[in-house]
Amino acid sequence: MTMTKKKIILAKVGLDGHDNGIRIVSKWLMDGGYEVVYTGLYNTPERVLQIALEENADAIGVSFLGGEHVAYARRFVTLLKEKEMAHLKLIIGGVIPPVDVAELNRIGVHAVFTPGTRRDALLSKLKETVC
Amino acid sequence: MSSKAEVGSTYLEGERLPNFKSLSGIDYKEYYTKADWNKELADPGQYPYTRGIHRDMYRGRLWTRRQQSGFGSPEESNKRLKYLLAVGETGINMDVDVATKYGLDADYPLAQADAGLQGTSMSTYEDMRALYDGIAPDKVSSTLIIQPPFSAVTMAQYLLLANERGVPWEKLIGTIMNCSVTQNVGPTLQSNMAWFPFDLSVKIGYDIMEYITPRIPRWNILNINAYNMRETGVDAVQEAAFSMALVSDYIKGLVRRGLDVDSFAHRMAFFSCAHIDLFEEVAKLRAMRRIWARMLKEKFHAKNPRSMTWRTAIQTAALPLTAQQPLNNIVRATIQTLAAVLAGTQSIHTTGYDEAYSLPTEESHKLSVRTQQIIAYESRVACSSDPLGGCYLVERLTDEIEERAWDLMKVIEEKGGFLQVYKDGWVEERINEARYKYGDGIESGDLTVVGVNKFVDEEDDVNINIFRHAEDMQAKRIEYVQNYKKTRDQEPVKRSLQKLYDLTKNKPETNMFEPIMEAVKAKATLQEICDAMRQACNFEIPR
Amino acid sequence: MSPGERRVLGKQRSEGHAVDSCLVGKKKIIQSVGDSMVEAYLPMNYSDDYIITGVRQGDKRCASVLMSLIEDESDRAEACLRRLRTVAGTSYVLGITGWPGVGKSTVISKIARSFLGESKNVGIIAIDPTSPFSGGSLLGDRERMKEIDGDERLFIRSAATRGHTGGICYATRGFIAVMEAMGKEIIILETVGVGQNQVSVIQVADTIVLVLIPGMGDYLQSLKAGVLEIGDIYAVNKSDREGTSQTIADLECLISLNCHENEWKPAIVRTIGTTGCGIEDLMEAVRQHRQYLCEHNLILSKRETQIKSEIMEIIKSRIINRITRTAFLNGTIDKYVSDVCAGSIDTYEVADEILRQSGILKLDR
Repeated sequence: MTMTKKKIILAKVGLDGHDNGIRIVSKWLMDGGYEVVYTGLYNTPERVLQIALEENADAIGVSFLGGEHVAYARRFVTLLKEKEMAHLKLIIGGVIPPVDVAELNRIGVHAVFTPGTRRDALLSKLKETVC
Repeated sequence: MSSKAEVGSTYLEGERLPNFKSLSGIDYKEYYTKADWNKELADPGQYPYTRGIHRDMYRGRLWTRRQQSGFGSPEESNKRLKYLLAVGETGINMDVDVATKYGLDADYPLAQADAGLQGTSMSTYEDMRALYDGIAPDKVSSTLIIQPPFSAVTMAQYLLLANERGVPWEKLIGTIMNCSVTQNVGPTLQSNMAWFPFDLSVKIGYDIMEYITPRIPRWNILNINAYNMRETGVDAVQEAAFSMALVSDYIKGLVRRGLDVDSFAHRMAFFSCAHIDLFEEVAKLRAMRRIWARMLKEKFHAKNPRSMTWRTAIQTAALPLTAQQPLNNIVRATIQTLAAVLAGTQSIHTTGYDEAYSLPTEESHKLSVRTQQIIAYESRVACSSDPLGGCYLVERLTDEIEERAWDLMKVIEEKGGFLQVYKDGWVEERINEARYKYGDGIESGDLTVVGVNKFVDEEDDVNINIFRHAEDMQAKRIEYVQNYKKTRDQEPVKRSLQKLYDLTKNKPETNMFEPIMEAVKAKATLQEICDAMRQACNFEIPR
Repeated sequence: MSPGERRVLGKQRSEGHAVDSCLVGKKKIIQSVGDSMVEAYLPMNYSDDYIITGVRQGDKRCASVLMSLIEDESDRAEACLRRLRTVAGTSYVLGITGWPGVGKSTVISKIARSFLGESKNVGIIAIDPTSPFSGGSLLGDRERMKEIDGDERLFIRSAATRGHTGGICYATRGFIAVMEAMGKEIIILETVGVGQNQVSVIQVADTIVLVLIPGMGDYLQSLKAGVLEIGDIYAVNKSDREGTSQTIADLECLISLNCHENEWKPAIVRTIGTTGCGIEDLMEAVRQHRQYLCEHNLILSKRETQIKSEIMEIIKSRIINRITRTAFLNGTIDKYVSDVCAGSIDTYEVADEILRQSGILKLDR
C-alpha cells in the first residue's frame, strides 16, 4: 500500500525567464517527498490549470520576479473558481514586497514565499498548507 | 543557573570570519609583502593599461553617472529620465521591458501581463520619439540595452529620431548593447533560444556592427554583458574569462567579414559587474584591462593603441542585495561603487536599495546618484589614477585572476569558442553548478549574508516606499499598439515586411539593417518585423 | 458544471437514487450556491458511478481522479477498473524507452503531433523515477511537450515509479485501461529506460521504440545482453551530431546477430527531435510494425502474454498486500528478525510461518 503522495505543479507564467529559484525549489520539494510536475517557462494560467487537472494535482506553485504577481494571482483565483478547481492550493513565490503579501492572501492565495526563504521554512509551511 | 539569561557578546570567544577566501575561492594571505609581488608596472595610459586607460583618469574627467531606467510607456520613462538628468545623472541608460527584449508587442497574449513592468515598452518609432521628448540626442550620451535582432529595430528608431531632429550621425554619442548571448544569461539557455533563431540573431548583430562602424564614429557597437553572466552566480574568474572569450568570437566574426580590427575594436566596450569582495573586484577589472590589451595586440594584431584600451560600464551587483533589511543594501552598493571607482571605469550604475522589491523609486534612484557624487567629490579617491596600484595584495590578486582567466579562456577556445560552448550547453552547466553552490553556501553559512543567514532580524518590518506602476499602464499600452496597427497606412508596412521575409528566406547574406530601418519607417511594429523574419525561418515562438 | 456532469447527476436523481448514494464517505453534496459548492465538486466526493461514466465520456477530470486512485493503490481503484474493463480495449500502445537525456520527450511530442494531425485521439503517459531516499520525484517530461499541450484530443499524465522497478510503474496498466476507456486510439508510454530495467515495457506495449543518441558505444554493448530484443524500432536522435553513422552501423551489426528468419527485423531511423526531422520516417516504421503484427496475427499473442503477466502482477500484489497488513504491521516482523539474528530460526522458516499465518499457505505443511 503506497502512501498518498502530494502532487504539485510548479510553473512560470508570462515572459519572465528567471527560473533559478523555481528550479531550486523543485529540487527541495522532491527531496521533501513531493511529486513535482515541473512545467518550465512561458505558460499561460489556462495551461497551468489544464495541467493541474490532468495531473490531479493538490497544489499549484507559481513564481514571479517582475511585479506581475497581483494581476496573475487574481487571474488564477478566478480561473480556479470557473473551472471548479478551487480546492487546489495556490502558492506564490518570488520577488513579492511584504506589503503585497496580505493583498495576495486576501485575493485567495494560500501561501506566499518571499526572497531568502530557507528550505526548512518553505517545506514546513508547505506541509501545513497542502497536507 | 539564573532564571534570567544574561546577555553577553562574542567578544571573549573572539569573533572570526568563517573563512578567508575571496568570492572566487582564492585564498587571502595573512598579509602580503614584496615577496608576493615585486614587478615593474606600466604607468596609467600606457600599454597594457593595467593602471588605467588614461593617464589622468578621473582628474581629467569623472566617470559617467549612468543609471538604468525605464518602465511603463515611453512617456512615463521620459519623465524619469528628465528627473535623473536634473539630479545629476550624466548619461542615459535605457532599459526595455521583457516583451520588447523578446521582440513582442504589448498586445501579444503571453506578453500582456509583463508589458512595461521591468523596462520601457517600445514597439514603434513614435515610442522612441516620445522617450526622447525634450532631450537632445546630441547633448547627452545614451546606452540602449537590447540585444539582436531587436537591437536593429531600436537602433533604427534612434537613427530616425536623429534624422527628424536634424542631428547628423557623426554627433551621436552612445552605445547599443547588441550582444546576442549575454543579455539573457540570467534566465536559462532555453529562454535565449525560444524567441528567435539564435544563429540569425548573432548574424544580425554583426550586420548592425558593420553598418554603424563607418557611419557613426562615436557610437559603441557592442557591450559585452559580463554583468548578466556574473549575476547567475559564476565567480569573478568566470566572468572575466567568459566575457573575453565571447568578445574574441565577435571580433573574429567581424574580421571574417573583411573589417579591419582597428576600425571597430575601439568601439567595443563591456558592461561589467562590481561585486562585494572589494579587492577582488578591483583586481578583476585591472586584470580584464590587461587581458584585453594583450589579446588585441597579440592575438588580433591591432596597431592602433586605441584598439587596445579596454572600456567598461559598471553596474554594482544586485545578487548580494537582500530583501531583508533593505537599507543594508545602501552600504553594499557603496562598497561596490567604491570598488569600481578604485579600479577605474568609464561609467557606473549604482543599484538601488530596493532592488529586491521592485524598480527604483525616485528616492532610491536619487540616492544612487548621490552615492556616486559623494564618492567623487568628498572621499578624494578620484584624485589620483589607480590609487591601489603597487599594493602587494591587489597586484598579486590581479596577476592571479589574469592567469586563471587565461587558462579558462584556453579551455573554451579548445572547445570551439564561447558561442559554440554556449550552444552546446557547457556554459549552462557551469551556471547551474554556480547556482547550486551559491544556494548551498547560504544554507551552510559558508557564505555570510547579513540579514539572511547571520544577524537576522526576527521581526523584520520593512518600511520603505516601493515603486508602483500606474494602474492602467498595461491596458493603455495594449490599446496604443492595437490602435497603431489599425490606423496606419497598411500598404508600405506590407511591402516592407514582405521584403524582410523574402530577404531572410532567399538572400540571407544580405545586411538586414537597412531593410529593417525601412520597415520601422513604414510604421511596422517591433513584433511584426521580427515575425516576418521568424516566419521565413519556420520558427515558432511560445504562445 | 459541464453539461455532461449535470446530466450524470441528474440521471442518478431521476432513477430514484438518493443524492447520498453519489458519495463515498460522509460528505454531502450541497446544493446551495456560493463557496459551499466547492464541496460538491471535490474529487474525493466523486462516486464510482460518476467516475466511470465520466471516463467513458472522455471526461478528463474523472479520468485524472481515477488515475490518482490507481496510483495510490486504493481499493476503489480496483473496483472501478474491473467495471471499466467491460469496455473492450482498442488502443494501440507505443512504448518509447531510452536512457535519460536522449530526447524521448521531444520525440514523443513530435509523434503525438503527427497522430493528432491524423485526427487521432492520443494519450501520453510519462514516467519518471521516484527518489528511493525521499520518496519524491521530479516529473519534468511535460515541459518538453509544450507545443502540443492544449489540444483537446490529447491527455498527458505524468507518473512516478514509486519504488517499482522495471521502468514502468504499478499504475501503468491501470492508466492504459483508463485511457482506452476514454477512447484514446493511441497511447504513448514514455518509460524510464535504463539498461535491464527496460524489460517490463514489453508487458504493456505493442510497439517499442528505443531512442539512442550518437556515440552511445558502451550502451550498445550492453544491449547484447538480451535487452536488444525489446526494440522493434531504433531511433537515433540528435542525428545531426557526430558519430551517427557509426552508431547506425553498430546497430545494424547487433541486429543482424540477433535477428532470426521470419521475425520482424527492427527498423533504424534517424531523427532530430527538436526540428522534427526524421519523424515521418519514424511514423512510417511504426505503421509498418503495426501492420506486421496484424498480418502475422501477433496482436492476439501479445495480448495473451500481457494478460498472463498482468495476472501474475495481481497475484503478487495481493499476496504482498495481505502480508503487509499482517506480518509487517506493528513491527511483528521485528520479533522474527531478532530471532533470526539470535539463531533460533532461519529466514525460510520465518517466510513459511508468515505465509501460514496470513492464510496463504495451509497450516499442515
